[in-house]
Amino acid sequence: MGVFEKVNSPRVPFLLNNLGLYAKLVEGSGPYEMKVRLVNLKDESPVMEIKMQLEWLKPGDPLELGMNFAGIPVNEFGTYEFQLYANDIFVGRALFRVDKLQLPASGPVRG
Amino acid sequence: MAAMQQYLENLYLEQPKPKFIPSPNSPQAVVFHEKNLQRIRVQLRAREGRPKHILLGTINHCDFRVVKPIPVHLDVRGNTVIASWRKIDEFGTGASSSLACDDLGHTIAELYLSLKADEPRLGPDLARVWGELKEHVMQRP
Repeated sequence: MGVFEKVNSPRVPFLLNNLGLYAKLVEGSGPYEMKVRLVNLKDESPVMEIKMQLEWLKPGDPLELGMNFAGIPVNEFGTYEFQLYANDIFVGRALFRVDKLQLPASGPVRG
Repeated sequence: MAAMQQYLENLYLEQPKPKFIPSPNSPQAVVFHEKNLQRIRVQLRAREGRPKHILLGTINHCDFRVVKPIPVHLDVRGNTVIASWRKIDEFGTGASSSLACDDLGHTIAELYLSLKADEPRLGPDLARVWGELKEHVMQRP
């Protein structure tokens, strides 16, 4: 399971656009209800949840899952965790950090 | 290449819209329509946090495979999360539920190897733990 590791922003809150999540699953077959949760690791409070049904067609092959998210509300700096569940069983996670971006102080231009 | 083929077969799946969950500290607004107001019922949103139980479908050790989900109980002591598998009386700790489950996974892997090595000499209690472990976890060939 993978995701960009770091997001920089000069301030919070903001909406995080275009975040992609990739997961590769092995050793499964048949129908699954996949659930992706995003939690703030400070207290593990949920930020977002998505559920989807899928059919694992070929048991011998890995299953690749790609999801794109837009407009995720980020209210605090810190570490966030995507958690992946298959039929309510925890199968993986990916972390990303939201750090404060220090903008250079603006001052008089010297030439 | 095989994986890509399967991915393409699943392409028809449309990604559902995520449900965004307001933060527990966000205000919960109530609008009053004064004309018709007689009785009002306000329901406060319950604070959601880490679950108390999870089913663990993988352990953080590449030599082992979870064949039956492991029931894990999550407790918090100060800043530490404790993930315990009560039936075999083993636990792991960490700063988050996932890290505690990772730690529990390492404990399970070590216990599996140790009990496997001592299998012929196990007493009744450890034999029960070994039986439970084998039911949920297997070592990859």
